[in-house]
Amino acid sequence: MQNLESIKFRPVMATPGYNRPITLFVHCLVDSLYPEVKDAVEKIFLRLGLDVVCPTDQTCCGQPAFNAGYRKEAGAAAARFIDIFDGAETIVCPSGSCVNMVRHHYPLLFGNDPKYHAKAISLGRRIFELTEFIVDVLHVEDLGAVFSGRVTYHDSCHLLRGLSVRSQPRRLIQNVQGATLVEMKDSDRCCGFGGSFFLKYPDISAAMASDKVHAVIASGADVVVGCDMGCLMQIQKHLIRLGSGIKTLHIAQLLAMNAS
Amino acid sequence: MQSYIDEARKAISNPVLQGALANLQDRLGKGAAAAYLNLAEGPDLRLKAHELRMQSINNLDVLLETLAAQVAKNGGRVIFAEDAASAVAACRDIARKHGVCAVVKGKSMVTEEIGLNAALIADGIEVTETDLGEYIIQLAAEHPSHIIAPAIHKTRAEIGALFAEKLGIAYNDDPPTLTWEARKALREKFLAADMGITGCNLACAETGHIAILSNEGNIRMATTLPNIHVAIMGMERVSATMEDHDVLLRLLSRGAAGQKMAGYVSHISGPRQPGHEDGPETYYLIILDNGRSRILADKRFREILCCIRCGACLNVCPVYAKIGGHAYGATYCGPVGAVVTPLLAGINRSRDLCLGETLCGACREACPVHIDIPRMLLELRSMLADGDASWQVRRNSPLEKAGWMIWSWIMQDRRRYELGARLMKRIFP
Amino acid sequence: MNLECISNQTHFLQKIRTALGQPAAAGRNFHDVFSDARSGSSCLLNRINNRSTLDRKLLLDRLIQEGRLLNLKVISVPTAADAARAIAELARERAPEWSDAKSLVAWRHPLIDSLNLPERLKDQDIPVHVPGPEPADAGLFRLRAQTALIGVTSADYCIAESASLVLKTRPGQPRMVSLLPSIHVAVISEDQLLESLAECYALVKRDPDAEKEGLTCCMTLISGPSKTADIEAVMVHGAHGPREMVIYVLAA
Repeated sequence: MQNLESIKFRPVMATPGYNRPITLFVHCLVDSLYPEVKDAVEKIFLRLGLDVVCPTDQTCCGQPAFNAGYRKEAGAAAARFIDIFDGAETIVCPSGSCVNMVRHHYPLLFGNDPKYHAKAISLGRRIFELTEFIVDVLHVEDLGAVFSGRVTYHDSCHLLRGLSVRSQPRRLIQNVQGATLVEMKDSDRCCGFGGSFFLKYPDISAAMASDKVHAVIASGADVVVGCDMGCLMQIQKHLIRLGSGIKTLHIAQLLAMNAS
Repeated sequence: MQSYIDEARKAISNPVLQGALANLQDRLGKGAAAAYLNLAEGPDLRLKAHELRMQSINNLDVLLETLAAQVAKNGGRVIFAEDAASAVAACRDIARKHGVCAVVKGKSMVTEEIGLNAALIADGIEVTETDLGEYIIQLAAEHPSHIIAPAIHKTRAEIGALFAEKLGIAYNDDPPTLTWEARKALREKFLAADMGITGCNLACAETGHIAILSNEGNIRMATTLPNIHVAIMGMERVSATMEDHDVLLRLLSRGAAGQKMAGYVSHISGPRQPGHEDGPETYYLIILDNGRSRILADKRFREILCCIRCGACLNVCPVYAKIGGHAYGATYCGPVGAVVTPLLAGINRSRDLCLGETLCGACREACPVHIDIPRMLLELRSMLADGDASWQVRRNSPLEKAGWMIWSWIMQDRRRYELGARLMKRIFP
Repeated sequence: MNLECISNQTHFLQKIRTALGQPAAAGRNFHDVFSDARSGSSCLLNRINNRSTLDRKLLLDRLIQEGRLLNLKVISVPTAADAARAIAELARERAPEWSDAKSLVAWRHPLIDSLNLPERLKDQDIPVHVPGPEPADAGLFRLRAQTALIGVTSADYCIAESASLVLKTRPGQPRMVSLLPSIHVAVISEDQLLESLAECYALVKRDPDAEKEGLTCCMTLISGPSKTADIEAVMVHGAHGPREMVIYVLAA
């Protein structure tokens, strides 16, 4: 991973009025396995002419431990996250489930610690999922992206039901030049990833994923896009298993595409 | 609980069951969502319903005392049963006292929970389930696989063969024909029964009536024709006023089957009055604890007592859709079962129910009283992770705990994290 | 209530109070904890009492529409004679289910009495049985209800929003008439239409005339014929209750 302190670029598309620094929470799946998604996020902010800071110390928000029931361990990771991001004015993350963790579960982890509880609440107000931030905060729906093909979109559970983000990614996709958004059946149905669920209950996970990829294939899409890498990993694995050539893309990767 | 994984696997490899569950969810799950939109107050009525239910649960003692007094005033008899054994004993006593030979039953999860049928049958009493789905599985000697549609796992061919064998009719697999055969067979039972046993969807404390919903008419039959009616309710199934009932019955009907109102709603206050031509002469209401007071005492889980057993969560759960009801190995299945069963039957024993979901939140979204099931599953998981004295929960896996402690240590340092990431890349190329 | 019952109740409720962290002696009473909502009911009662003829016609339209979705026939008829004629036609057209000969059972109720059904059905040789005045008659009436083709009732109210008839239980108006026969026919007047369940409950609870009687030992909401989809999710009408249902609404 590159050790970046801050990035300053000549704006390609100016975002009217917005000039506050943005702090990027990369999150562990992208950080460790999909650096291309981080590159795409940075490219998007470059296009928007916005400064992005990426704290080099960051690790994990603690969600995997929390979902598995290990609150002490999750709390330790969460406390460190708070320490690192406490001073950030705005935090953006290309993962709905991480933002959901911070916004809705952090206060619970610090029930006995008033100081961190207050920080958790404050942080929850300043952290955004990527598409949520672009559409709801920056009021931008067209990033000048270009992609020729049919795109279907998978609603990740925490993004949809935890953060109520449903239309924002779709609007962004619809404004990609050359792309056609095709809805799949039950786009909001869980793909079966579920953190450690796919490891502990592989048969059930695979059965759920199978339904999901059948819906993807039936949609006629060339590409399936989502906002959470966990889901996309699961979907990709099962698309390959079925011998399908449909590709998965994180929405950042789609939005970062252009003609050149 | 190896059976969870084994039963799940069996269900997943059963294409007929998979088709039936997919169809059920497509119809009922989407039907409920659409029906919430046609509420005069809009879908947010569910939030008000949540408050009403929580207020009832938080004042359950007051409500039950008022309910009992009203039922007595209306000529009914109230029995408080602290556990399954005393509820069963009470039913057996009532049956013995009144010389009961034949019982007709409406669908009641609570009677499943306490194992009532077996006890009455052992006393030589004929017990007939009258909800068509329950009747089918009774004939087949199986357990229900869904709260509202207990026989959803059976095909028309299987039911046709079952009826041919048990009812002595010619084989037929046409659902209307099979339904009307059951209609005939069960009518005989209704007309001859000495006692009707039902559950109770929701009691009303201020009036002392119980509301029981159905579409088939079997509840009406069982509570009108026999001379004795015994209703059994979980102690949490009570709300304060008729105004509460207006909200809750409309939501229950929508959550269960996407209906504005169930086909039949019986508001039963007491036994028949002088001059009436029908109705039971004697009416008992059995109020059951059986572990619910322990749930009530724990503020983390008190919310699950708001449940009105509509089955809406089953109709949207993607895990339930794959594994079916039998995998839960208990009376209550689906998302609500994943919370209630561990709390009633033991958390360690039921660990697969606590861990075997993705926490997708579809259940919370579908619930007519907006119960936060994922929140409670997370609480159960944390109890399994670190143990819990108040519920006698042993740590589920010391090895796993050690693993997460190592994970935590790794996450505290960027360099360790990067090393860990490189390792991950090897495992997941 | 005997002593054992009392001690059971006391112990049971004590467990709950302990669970709730409430003091041992019951300190709260129902009316302290739960608000009366009297004002809400007054609003509803006012609305019902001041409902215009036009509004009632709109409710009727709504009822007809909702009924269609439930396989419930709602037919507006100008007079009682028209309703009686229609019932006679229905009896002519339908085949009996529970016996070889056709028969009807009906409520003892002013509106139903005014239909003069026994006279109407005389030419088809179809007897019409009404509950007798003596308690001893009940057994025979039940046998009649068991084999009847059509059961004719009125109702207390009819809720348009969900196409639900509301029937209290009274002497001469037993539940079995709307339950045992193959077909349930209800005859009501337009001014019995209500908009919602809330209105029905407000009347039952607060209307000076209705609240004396209360719910009666059994008040039943009926929203269409009996149905089930327990076999492969195929909808079938006629599980245990009537397989067909008609409501005749007389102009007020």
